[in-house]
Amino acid sequence: MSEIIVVTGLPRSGTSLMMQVLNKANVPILQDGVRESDISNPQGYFELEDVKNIVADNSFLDKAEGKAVKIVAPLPIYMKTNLKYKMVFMRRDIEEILQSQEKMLSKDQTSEREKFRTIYEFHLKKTYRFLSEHDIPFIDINYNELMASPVPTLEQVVDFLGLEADAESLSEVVNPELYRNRNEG
Amino acid sequence: MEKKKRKVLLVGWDACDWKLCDQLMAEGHMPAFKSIVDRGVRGKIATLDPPLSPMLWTSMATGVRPYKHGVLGFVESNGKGGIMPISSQGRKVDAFWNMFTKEGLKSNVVAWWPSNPVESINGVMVSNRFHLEKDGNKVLDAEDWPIAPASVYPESLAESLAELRVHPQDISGHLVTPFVPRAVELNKKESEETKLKIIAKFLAHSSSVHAVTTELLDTTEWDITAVYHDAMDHFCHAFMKFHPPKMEGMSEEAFELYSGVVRGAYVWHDMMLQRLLSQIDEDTTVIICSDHGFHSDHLRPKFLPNVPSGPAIEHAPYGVFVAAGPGIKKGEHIYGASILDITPTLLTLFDLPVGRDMDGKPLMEMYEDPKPVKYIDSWQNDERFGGELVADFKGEDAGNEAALQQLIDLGYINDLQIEKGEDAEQVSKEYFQNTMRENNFYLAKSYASNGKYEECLEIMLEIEDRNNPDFRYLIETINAAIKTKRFALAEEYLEYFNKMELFAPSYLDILQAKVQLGLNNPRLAFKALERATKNYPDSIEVLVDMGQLLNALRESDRAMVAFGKAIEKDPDNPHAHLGYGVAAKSMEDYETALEYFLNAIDCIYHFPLAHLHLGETLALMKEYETAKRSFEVVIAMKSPFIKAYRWLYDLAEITENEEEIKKYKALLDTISQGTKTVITGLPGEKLVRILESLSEQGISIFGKDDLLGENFPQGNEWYDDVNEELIYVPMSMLGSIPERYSYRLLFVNDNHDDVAMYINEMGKLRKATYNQNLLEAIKKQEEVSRVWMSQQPNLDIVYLNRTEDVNTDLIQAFIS
Repeated sequence: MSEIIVVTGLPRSGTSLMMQVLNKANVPILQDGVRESDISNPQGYFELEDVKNIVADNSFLDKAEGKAVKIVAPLPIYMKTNLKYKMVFMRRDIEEILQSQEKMLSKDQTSEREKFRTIYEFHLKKTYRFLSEHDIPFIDINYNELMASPVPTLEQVVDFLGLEADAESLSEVVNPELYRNRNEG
Repeated sequence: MEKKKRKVLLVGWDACDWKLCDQLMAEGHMPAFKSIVDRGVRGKIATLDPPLSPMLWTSMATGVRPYKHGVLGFVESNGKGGIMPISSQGRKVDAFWNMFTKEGLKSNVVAWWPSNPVESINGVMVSNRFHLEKDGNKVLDAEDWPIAPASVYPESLAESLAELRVHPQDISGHLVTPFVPRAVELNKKESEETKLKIIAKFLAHSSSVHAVTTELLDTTEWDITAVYHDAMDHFCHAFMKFHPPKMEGMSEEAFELYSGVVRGAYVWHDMMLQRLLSQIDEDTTVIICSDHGFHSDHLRPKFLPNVPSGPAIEHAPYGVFVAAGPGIKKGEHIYGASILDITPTLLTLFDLPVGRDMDGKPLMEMYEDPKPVKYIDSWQNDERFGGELVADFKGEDAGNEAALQQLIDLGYINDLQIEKGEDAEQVSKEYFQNTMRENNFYLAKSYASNGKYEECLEIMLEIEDRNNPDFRYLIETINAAIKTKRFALAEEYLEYFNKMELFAPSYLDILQAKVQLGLNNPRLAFKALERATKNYPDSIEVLVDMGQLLNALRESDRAMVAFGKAIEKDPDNPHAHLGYGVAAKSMEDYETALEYFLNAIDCIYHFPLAHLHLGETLALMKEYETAKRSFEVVIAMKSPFIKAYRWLYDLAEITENEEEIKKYKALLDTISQGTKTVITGLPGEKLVRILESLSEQGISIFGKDDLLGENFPQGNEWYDDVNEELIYVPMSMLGSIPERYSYRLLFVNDNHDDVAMYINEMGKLRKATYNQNLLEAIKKQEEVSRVWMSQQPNLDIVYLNRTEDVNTDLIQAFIS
């Protein structure tokens, strides 16, 4: 497989979880381990520090062929357009994302909910526009569906990426413990 | 006889305004300018928002808006964490001198803002930093005064042109006397010396620019010579407050001393123009233009806001445009010019194609015998050599300090001030971030001014920072949220605004009114509006906002009063004229409406909404051919109004033009999203029975249980998802049905007394309200709706008078 697998989505929409799934499926991960696991994401983030600087320097992608890398939305719009990608786009209800982020940052942002909601709406729109303008194949994975019925959802991922892995065993990664900031209301 | 080659002299006077030009021409003080006006065309030229000169002059030289050309504000990043004055490096598209170079035409370009570093064009380019005499805030001595790097192309001319510069030290007190008659006497008073020095500096700068221009006119071969003077703007910012009539609070002494400075500046520019005209022949086309006007009367602001670019509120929205030469009409007015039109017009003077990607249009009405305009997709696709920057200034300080200081002196940017005990690095970093944030604000405004509110909002949300609140940013954000129908977001900001007490509550009320209107709460909107007008009775902006709100509420009489007051205060306000026309149109006074729509278009031609209303009014007056032309203009302006196509289709049907019927039918089929069936009527027993009868026949009806529309959905996106066969729209909401659909409309007629009875029985009103007022309100609602329906091109209406009517074949066919 020569494409770069990019896992994207808004922060706190299950991008790290999807990276763990790919790790379990033996997909090589482009990461440097700078951001270790913490209480918000106990199994680790699988992040690459270089991604944060993607606006100024996206050369790290040259080494990413056949590997998976996490690039949160809207940063994929700064990816090199001459390389081949397959994207896994993690989606989660924005209300849940906002709550999860607030919890993670221990910050009450309820007075700015609409602001962040709109910013994220723009980030998603921008990222999807980039994917369609550059004909980059992608699959939308709903975080809630992944949590509720991991096996069929992961089967879609396995099919889309052409992984040699068994969705059943990958589903062990999906830890219901993580789904703790769910909006019950 | 061989036709003479076209030559063009383009003179740019920053901030030149018709009010003073007309006054001074009448008094005989601007004879050179008058000679061009008399033998050419004249018109008002609309500026762009934000009205900041480097952005405007780049739009003038490229024909595109700032979000396309990339020159934003007065400064840019120097690439190493600091700022530098805006340069030509930020420009992303060709300027006219690049286009002419590609065509082998020779251009002289002098002092265009921004044009440093200069470009290797076919001709001569002298930059806007060529004549500055400062190094940082230190004034260089006239004897040791090197020119700024990369400020002359070709380099070989640098030395000889540098000799022509005039240093402020060379401007003696006597030379300032025409501006300040008591200058020599004052010069001895230290307190007044600064002002005289400012005049000397502006005179020196403009003299240097003028000297280079006269030299190039005489010593070079050229097809176009373009010169830009910033001095008039600078004179006005420094001295308009002293200009007669005396402003409130101005001391008698200061008024007496400086009241003639602005007038002197205009006369001085006319004198320079006189010299240029003496160097060219009558076959040379002359264009004089400005980027905006400058308030010189009661519209002068009483104070300047303490924000970056604060002085720009003194700018008036229209500047001057004058053109004279072979093939150009004489003594006529042209209408609807914009600064975006200069480059397309220059191209047509040389019979060159206009880029379809340009936002401006060629001013063809200035020609006696206009030829068809040639077009290409874009000059950017033309790979011929058009000149390149002679230096890369990123990261270098060369010459930047002086120009930065000039901007600080003029009040356009804040200075970097590091107080004792502050972390210099941190303060510098914040200064840089705030400056770049400000540029992004201008970018957002540039999008908004072309109706691109999504793009505007996206930027505003990124740069708006609650730890560093700026009321301008918040207002822009709220406006963009309202325009993109994100009312919850707007409300969130309003709450924050209220809590922080960042702005006068009365302005908040105006914003609140707009939000409430968007949320379908006209009563709350009304209340907010009434609070605002009490506190802000004289603001033109508030009057226009209020009028628009009243129009939306179909309070046409009151809207007219508000717009009328705004027009009285500012006769050049296009939105006030448009609003007045809309109010008149909804009162079926088409003659008046026509007059005001024409006024609006006269103020600003690129105003598709005004052309649409004009076309509708003409169509309603049965002036079908003229109406057609208006709708064609709307379409040519690439506006999103599908209505224009619908009207053209309707007009083709009325005039039985088979070819156009086919053409617009095909176009509408591709644009329109289909047809919806809507039922409406005043809420009464008859409507209830008709809806029940239709339901019994198995027809699904959206909203049938909410006759009063209390839970009627916001916005109109939801129409796309309605699966029911019929949509009930309360009569008061009829105006909100989206124009992307065609409609079959069932209108239930009912007796007003019965309707009043029903409303009363529904317990929505106290008994006491069942009276004449309620009947009046019902009558008015119906009248307004009927007028509105008669003015829509996309409605096919059938009236239902009796419940049994639903069983007729006609109605059955209509619904199915």
